[in-house]
Amino acid sequence: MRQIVYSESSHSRVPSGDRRPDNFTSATLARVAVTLSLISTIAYFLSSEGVRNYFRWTVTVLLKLARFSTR
Amino acid sequence: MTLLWGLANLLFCGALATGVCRRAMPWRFEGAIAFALAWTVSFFSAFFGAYLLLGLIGLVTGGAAVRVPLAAGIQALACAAVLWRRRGPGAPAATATDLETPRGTWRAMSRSGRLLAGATVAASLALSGMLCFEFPRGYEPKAYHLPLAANVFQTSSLELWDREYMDTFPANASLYYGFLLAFLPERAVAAAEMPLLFLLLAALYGLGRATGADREASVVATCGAVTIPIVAFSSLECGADIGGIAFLAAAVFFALTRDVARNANVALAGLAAGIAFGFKSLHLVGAAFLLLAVAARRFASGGPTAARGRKGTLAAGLFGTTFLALAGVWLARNGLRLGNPLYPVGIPAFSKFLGWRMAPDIDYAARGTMQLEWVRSSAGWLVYPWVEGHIHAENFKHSSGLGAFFAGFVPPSVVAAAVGLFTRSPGRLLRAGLLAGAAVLTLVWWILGDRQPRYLMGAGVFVLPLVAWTIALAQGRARSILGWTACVTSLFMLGVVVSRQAVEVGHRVFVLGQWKRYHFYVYPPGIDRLPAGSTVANLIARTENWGLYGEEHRNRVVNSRRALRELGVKADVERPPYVRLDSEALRGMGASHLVALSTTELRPGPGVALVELDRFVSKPADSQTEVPVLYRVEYAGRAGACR
Repeated sequence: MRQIVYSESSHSRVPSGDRRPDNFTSATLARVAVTLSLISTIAYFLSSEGVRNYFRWTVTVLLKLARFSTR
Repeated sequence: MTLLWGLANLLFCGALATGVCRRAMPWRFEGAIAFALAWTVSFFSAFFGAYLLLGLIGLVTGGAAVRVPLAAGIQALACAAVLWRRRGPGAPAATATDLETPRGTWRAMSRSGRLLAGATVAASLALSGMLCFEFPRGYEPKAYHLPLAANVFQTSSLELWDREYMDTFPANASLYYGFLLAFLPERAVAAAEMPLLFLLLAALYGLGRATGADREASVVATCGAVTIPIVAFSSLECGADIGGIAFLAAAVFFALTRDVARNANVALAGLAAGIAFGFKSLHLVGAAFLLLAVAARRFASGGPTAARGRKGTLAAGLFGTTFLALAGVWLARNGLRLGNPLYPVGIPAFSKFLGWRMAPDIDYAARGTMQLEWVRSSAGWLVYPWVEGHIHAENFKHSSGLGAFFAGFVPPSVVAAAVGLFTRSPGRLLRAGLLAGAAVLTLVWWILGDRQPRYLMGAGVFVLPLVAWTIALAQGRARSILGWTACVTSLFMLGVVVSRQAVEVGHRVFVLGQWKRYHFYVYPPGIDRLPAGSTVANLIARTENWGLYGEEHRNRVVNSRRALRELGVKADVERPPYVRLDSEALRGMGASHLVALSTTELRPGPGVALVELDRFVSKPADSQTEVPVLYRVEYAGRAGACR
């Protein structure tokens, strides 16, 4: 029977008995992933129409709420 | 009495699932997540299996067999058979790596992980609570999922309600909601997607762990998945998307991460894939991929080539058989009644070759233009996760938007996992399988041409576990950066979902005071007082279908598309300016009442007269210029016959 076996973590916060994959010390791959993730996140907040429209909607709602509460 | 039979259904399904898991399969040796998923798949297999069997009997005999007490009887018999069976062969000895429980996870998580997990749980509870102030919502649920649900339990049959293409899809979602509506308040059923969302999260967590990611990384990836708008907003509607991907995720878990030498794992994968197909026929592609994956994994298990080939074939056969056990009824119904088992899905050249009928009410050539709702050209999909365009600025809803977490983590994770295939690391085959699955689903989505973001949700099931793996790659400061990035992006998206829902519910209920069902669905309150068995022809639009069943769901409804088509209105026209009421056409539908907009000019033909019974009064008054009006139809010579 094939079991998926994980190695112990070197991450200090992971409890004993918890597992991490072997050979994940590929620091280069991790660094690339972190860099891509940060760039991708920043690109999202700069270019997303959804975010822009959401902020517009929020302002509209807050203005209506202010008008409603002063009535 | 209905409540008792409903509870009996749940009790027998639960006992059956427990019996299967404890006696036939030693799941307690495979960890809490595997056990929970096996139990849930067994439970829903028993639930859907009983109704589908009754539906098949009804289709063959023409009888009304789909009844809650009969389903309870079948489940009780299956339960007795499983409990009667002696315990199966001894379980393999448990190892330390198998006996995983969630204990200690919370304490061991970083601050960002705890904040994200806590906020996700709080947001889920808040959203579920808000849903109970409303009624089931969403375009598809109102147009056909819920009307089909009412129709199945009114007619006790899985026969087609109508031949409009939307009404011919597999209807596991309708069986699920119809069953719940039989004994739960409609407001509670509005939150019925939530249990299926939890199944999805459990499966994604299990898949994340199987890639080799640690617990916190798997929790973070799972919580991030909830914040994807097409997932989050879909879970607020009584649709079929969340159920479909939840069971697909369970099927992926059993097919790709468990030992396929055990028949039980293969059978569970096939059953889960069969249920996923019943929710959304698009998951046939994912099921076909998993069938090949199971066969390939079994073939690669070692031994002489002939023996490996036989094992691979047997595994594929078992997966296919269990898949068909739960998907076959829908395929058979559409094949026999509509001449195409996958109706209305079809690729013109391919369907012509097989002699499969295409849906006359779908313009297949125009499906390619559907994508213009989200992108300006096909190349736009390459940047869609970062741009999230929408032609009507509805960027975040059940069918739009992938959100900040997806944009920040999924594409980098796919790149990292693809590069990681060239390194010597454990779990490479699983990651390759997940990447291949996502690639196949994306390719088919592209070829079919009906490019809507939510039709790619199945591919998301394959790539989201890779996010957990990628987060687990990082150590120290890099890990902390990823953790806080995931936390910030997810919290932002949770804020979007919760604020939108809160403003909508708050405005409707607390500002406008629209608490009643007829306010929510906008129909004349007289609909709720019609005599039982009244048949209402909907002359407005598809989304009005569900409201017209009334608050006790006793009315029968003629779908707007059918009603308008039979009255000579051009296909696809909704809210028509005028309708000529032909006596024969109305009699053919059995219409005793009809609902039309006040602005629609109704021209009764010979032998038909209309009596206005009621009209919707908007709240606040005069906020609407056109309101739905309820009429009683009177036929000449048979006055009152249809009352």
